[in-house]
Amino acid sequence: MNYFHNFTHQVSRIFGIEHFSYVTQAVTAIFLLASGLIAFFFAYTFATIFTNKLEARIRSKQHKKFTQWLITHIVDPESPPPKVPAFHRTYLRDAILDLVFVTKGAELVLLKELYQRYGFWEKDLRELTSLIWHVRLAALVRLDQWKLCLGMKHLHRLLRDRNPAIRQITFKNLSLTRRASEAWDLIHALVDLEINHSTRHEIISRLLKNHRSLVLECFEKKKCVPLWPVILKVLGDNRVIEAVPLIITLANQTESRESREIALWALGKIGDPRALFLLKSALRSEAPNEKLAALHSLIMINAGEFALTVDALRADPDPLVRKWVDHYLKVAL
Amino acid sequence: MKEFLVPLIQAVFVVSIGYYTFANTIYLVLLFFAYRDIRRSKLQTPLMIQELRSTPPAFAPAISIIAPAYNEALTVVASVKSFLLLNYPVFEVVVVNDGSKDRTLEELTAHFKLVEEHTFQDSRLTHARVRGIYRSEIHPNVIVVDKENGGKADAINAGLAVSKYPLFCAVDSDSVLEEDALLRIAVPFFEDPEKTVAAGGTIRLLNGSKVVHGRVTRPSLAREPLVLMQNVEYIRAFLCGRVGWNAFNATLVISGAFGLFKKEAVLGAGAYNKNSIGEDMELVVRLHRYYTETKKEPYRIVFIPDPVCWTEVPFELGSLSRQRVRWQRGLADTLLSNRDLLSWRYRALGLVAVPYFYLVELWGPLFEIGNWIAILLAYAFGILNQELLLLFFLIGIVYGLFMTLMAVLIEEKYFRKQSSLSEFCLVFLFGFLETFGFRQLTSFWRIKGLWLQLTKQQTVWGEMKRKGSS
Repeated sequence: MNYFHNFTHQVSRIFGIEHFSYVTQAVTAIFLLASGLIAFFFAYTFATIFTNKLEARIRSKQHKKFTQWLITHIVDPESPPPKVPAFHRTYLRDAILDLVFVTKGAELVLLKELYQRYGFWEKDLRELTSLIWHVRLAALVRLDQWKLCLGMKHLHRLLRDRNPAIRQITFKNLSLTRRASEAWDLIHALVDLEINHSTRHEIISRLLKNHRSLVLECFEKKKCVPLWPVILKVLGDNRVIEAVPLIITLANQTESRESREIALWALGKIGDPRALFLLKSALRSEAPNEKLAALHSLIMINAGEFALTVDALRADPDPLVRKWVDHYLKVAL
Repeated sequence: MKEFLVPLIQAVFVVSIGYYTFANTIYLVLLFFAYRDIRRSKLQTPLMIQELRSTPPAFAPAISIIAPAYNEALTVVASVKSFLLLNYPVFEVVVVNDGSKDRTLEELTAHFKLVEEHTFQDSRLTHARVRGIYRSEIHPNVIVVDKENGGKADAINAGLAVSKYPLFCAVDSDSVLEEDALLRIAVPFFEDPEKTVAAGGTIRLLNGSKVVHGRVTRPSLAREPLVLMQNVEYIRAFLCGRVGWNAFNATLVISGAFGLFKKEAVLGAGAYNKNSIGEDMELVVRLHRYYTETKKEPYRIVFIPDPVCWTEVPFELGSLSRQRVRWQRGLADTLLSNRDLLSWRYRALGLVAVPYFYLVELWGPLFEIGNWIAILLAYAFGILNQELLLLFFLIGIVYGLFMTLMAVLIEEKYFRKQSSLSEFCLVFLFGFLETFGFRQLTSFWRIKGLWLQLTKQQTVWGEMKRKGSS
């Protein structure tokens, strides 16, 4: 104690704050306390290194044992199940999930039955409502491995989860739905909730596979206007030929420049000659981006039509349009 | 003489103690945030990898790996093969032969059956003349760009011009990647594709490890003391200096050996600057500027704590000295030409990270060496103040040592790359030893680099000797 006092006094003198030596005492005390805490953590970390190594060894052994049994069980479903102590159940669960990657058909059904029989499915569903983010995420990832839509009943809360990864996986899983009502709910959620553009694109693509008419109906719903650009892009990317009349109508009627431009690009990707009239008229548009989209789409559908209009476009006031005309002349004609 | 020296030495001590208190407290705060990030990452990353593995390719962000190669005929084929073995749903490998004088292109042509192809080149990127673009007949996702020599930054720009995916990963062709390196580094882009602009990964030392078919099969440590010291230094630098800054979105350095970037963001920021000495740091600084000044959109540049890339480090003093001088010159070049980053407009970056980089990373060696000179002088003249020396020992050495050892422990606890207990003890021991001698030596080289940059002297980099891995 005496040394502590002397030390802090000397330091205070050097810094010229002899009258405030209690400040130095406080700083030194905090420093010593921090050192003590660090030393405690030091010991704690040291101990956990060994427990981690031990746990890894047990996990590896048990995982191997359960995988062997699961393979036997797939070949012979009558084979007796091994004893699974409560503290080893997670190893069995992980072994089942690892096999999900490499199995399909009847084998996958067998694995799912096991997963349910041991109560993992129910437990995962319960954990979706956990207050701890990583417990929710882990449960969701495990359930998503089965490539089955879990339904709005279980996932509606997770659509608004604070963790962006959970929101992404939830949207992804829900897009597998086969129910029209759930698909509608999902489309509404896409409009209402903040979700990134690429995920939106993929979800609409998935919905298009199972609910084509429902996606096309979006063009008639005012609520879905914010989704029009992404739907148009998906229709173009997937070459949905039956959507051509709808896209043409939309391109003629919409006041949104973005939607009109994407509609023109989409028509080019689909490649239906019914769009030629619209595309040729769009070449006279005032917006350079629309002109470029029409130009590109015209070549995609029929390069000959492009050749007929090329002279007028070569004198276009926009340098970008002129540059692209020159480029297309080299590569397309 | 003594009357003049006593106040001067005391002043040096007081300034140095202030510097060490600031530096080590920042390290402590960064270590706390790094620890929080690592814990979160250890919980989330394996789950996200599981999800990315099972996800359809459309949901996983597609990646172009860009590997510049200069005179690497001996290793380039093995490197490309190891890239092809990476575990990721969709990716392409773009190798840029940067005007090699050896048989780099011939080796690639022979092994991958390259055929010339007329591919679209993005005209927004400027680079040295491209002589030809080739695609592999065996692996259609391998593209080789043959161009005239222009340096690493120029080669990456050329690779970027022919790459087709929205994300690109710049790698050194002599680096060894973990099998799931792309999966790990893509996690931030999967979680938040709109805001994530760039992600860096932690780099580990390859010296002494066993590499089979481009994969580290047995991580081990070389026995050279210089390598062991660098190992400790890397652990501390990546945990405190890189991962910790994630909490403030103030990452300033993503290593050129392995980093994943959003292509549109890099093009918007002006791509790689071939005239910069530290092109990797310079690019990250420009990305911060681009999003703060031009786009004015929320963004994040992250550093993932998982070790994903292995690289060989110098094992002799000459190479190490040249490397450190070059690093310090790159740092000085970037920081001194971006002085206006010290502004509230950049929030935590301008108010905390940049001042830290100026004081600790740029000018820090002057304080460190100055303090040791003051100790020697005070000892020589018999005017050494024991209390002040003790205070310096507590704050400068013990406090710093704790940071180092904590970083080593966190590394061992969460990443377990040291394969045996004896190696762990060795790393722990060198955590102590590194503080005495090696740190002072690197400070000296950093001062040299700073001086060369301030006086604009030209230097020859020379080539690093390599042992290769068994």
